[in-house]
Amino acid sequence: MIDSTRPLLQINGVTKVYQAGRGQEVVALENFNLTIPDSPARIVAVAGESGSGKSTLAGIVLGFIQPTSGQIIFRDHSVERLSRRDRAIYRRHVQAVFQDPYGVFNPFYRIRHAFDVAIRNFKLAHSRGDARKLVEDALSIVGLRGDEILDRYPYQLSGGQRQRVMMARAYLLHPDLIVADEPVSMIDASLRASILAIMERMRDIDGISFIYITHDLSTAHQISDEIYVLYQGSTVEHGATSDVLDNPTHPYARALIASIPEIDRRWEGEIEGLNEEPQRGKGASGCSFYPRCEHRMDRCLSAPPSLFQISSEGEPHRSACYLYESSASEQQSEPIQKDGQS
Amino acid sequence: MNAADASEPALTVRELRVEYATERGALAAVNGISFTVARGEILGLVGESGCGKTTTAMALLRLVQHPGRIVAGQALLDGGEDLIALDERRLRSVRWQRIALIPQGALNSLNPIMRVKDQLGDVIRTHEHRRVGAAELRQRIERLFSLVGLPPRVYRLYPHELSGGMKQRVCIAMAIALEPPFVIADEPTSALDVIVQRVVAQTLLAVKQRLGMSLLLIGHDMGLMAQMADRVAVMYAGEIVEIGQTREVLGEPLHPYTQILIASVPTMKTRGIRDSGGDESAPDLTNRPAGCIFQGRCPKMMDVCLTVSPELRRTRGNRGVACHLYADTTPVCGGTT
Repeated sequence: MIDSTRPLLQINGVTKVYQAGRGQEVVALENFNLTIPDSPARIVAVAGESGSGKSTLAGIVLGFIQPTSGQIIFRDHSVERLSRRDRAIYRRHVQAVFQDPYGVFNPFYRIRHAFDVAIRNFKLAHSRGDARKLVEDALSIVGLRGDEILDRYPYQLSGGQRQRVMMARAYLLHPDLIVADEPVSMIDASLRASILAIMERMRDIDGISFIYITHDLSTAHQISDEIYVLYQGSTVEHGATSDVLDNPTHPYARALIASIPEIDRRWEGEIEGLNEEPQRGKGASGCSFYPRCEHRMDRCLSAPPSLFQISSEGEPHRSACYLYESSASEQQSEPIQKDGQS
Repeated sequence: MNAADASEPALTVRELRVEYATERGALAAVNGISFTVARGEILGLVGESGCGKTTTAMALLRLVQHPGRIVAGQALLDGGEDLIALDERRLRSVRWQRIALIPQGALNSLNPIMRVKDQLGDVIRTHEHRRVGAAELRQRIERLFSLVGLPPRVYRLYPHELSGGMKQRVCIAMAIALEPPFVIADEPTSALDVIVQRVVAQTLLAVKQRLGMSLLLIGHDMGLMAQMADRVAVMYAGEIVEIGQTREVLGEPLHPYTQILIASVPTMKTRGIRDSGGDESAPDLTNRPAGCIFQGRCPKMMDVCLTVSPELRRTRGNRGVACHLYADTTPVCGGTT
């Protein structure tokens, strides 16, 4: 039986390699590590652009994608080797919310169906009354009412309403963890906040942790406690969200943050060296950001940098850049100035 | 050719109305909007999905398709020719030459089986009213490439061999191939990663500056508008609810909808959620309510909002606002500013 005192989830050295044809391989995710403690619940953001491997990560945690190597450990048990019974427990305690609220519903069934299936499969209720109460509770968490929603078809709901229904459906099972893969990227700005607020509430009141997968650093900034910034399958920077986003260190993270179009700040100047877009599958032996980096050094071609500790105080803040190699000689450990992003 | 009067705006739109025929009757996707775009200006037309911004763009190019229909309105180029009234033959010579489009989802709007050079060559040869020789064509395409920052090697490539940012640059190159004085860009960077988005947006700004174009920029991203647009017009349910200088509108939004929209934009300076309580009761556009279209979601609704539809009125300098909260101001007639 799964015991509940160990870390909720550990992702240990997970790598996923896809065969791209003609003998080429694409490394979608490389030696990725992430730990979510048992408590308190937290929202862990995994941020990156297209091709960063963030959705592959979601697929691996949810069990849709088999990693090439590495392990997912849920409360001290390797997910790969769970017994039938423990796998069912895992399936119940790790839920998902996806990006496209238009694609996840079967258009032929009423909304009620999405809840009924979950209740039946996991035997959540002993009677119709119980079931009704469970569904009403879950809907009330996301600000919906059963009589408004349950007998309608998906096409009759707006994108925001559908995404709330998905949140309620995930909540129905009282999971420990929800993997939310770009849950607000297709929702209009003025309705996004309400979805994010639901996530915050579930964390604070119900103790549900989230892996929040996103390309949007500003929403990650709003709600996450901790953030991993991915570039081409590897973590380039990790730490408490406020540390990483207020004081980004990795050249990629810095360029990313400086490029966010914000309403109260104008882009300054042009970004040099970023005109070329990333190219994958080239089998580079060094840092994957080397071709686009304005701080590149010969050192960067020798081997991929590991995550170097930036500061020893407070929560860990780590950066995969030789500029922060602590044992490095003086000229290599010189920090980059905080320009161009204020 | 209409002799362009330099004092006239590049584009003057008056009372434009576009309807879609639905089973439940006519749906006014664009409900009589008016605005102008000055010479060399970038006007941002911003709003959420379904507000009518893309329909407006399509109407200006006369590309609205069945069951949609332009019901009323004028769109004057340089104060002269009315795009809405042009016959097909005249329309063909105006498109690309005087007004061009950078389409939404440009990533999918290139012909997958034509080389980049042939697609650009096609546009130039079809719309130039004279024979263009091979050498001249090549020269022109190379000039376009350097304008939008494409390396010459792209010349012979097919679209699938290009990255997203490069495809977007090809679409920009096509739109400016005949150096039209007016360009409509419909979400020109929406599918791009944020760093590439910035680079492409800055390219578009540079090209606009270089060619002295006027630009109608359609989008949903307020942050992007802040970077690019001189003025913004905020659309809601087919109507312009606020229009003014970008910095003023974003800095001090007056219409309650604009206020909600701006408040909901996350910033890197503040943490936590500012849930503006946005209720999603979208209005029924086939059966518009009497009074203000925003009444169902408005936190500041008054009795008058249920009966009288607010006009776009000028307030605080050149700002236009369609809201009864600012009723003691003068109506804006036709175009604004």
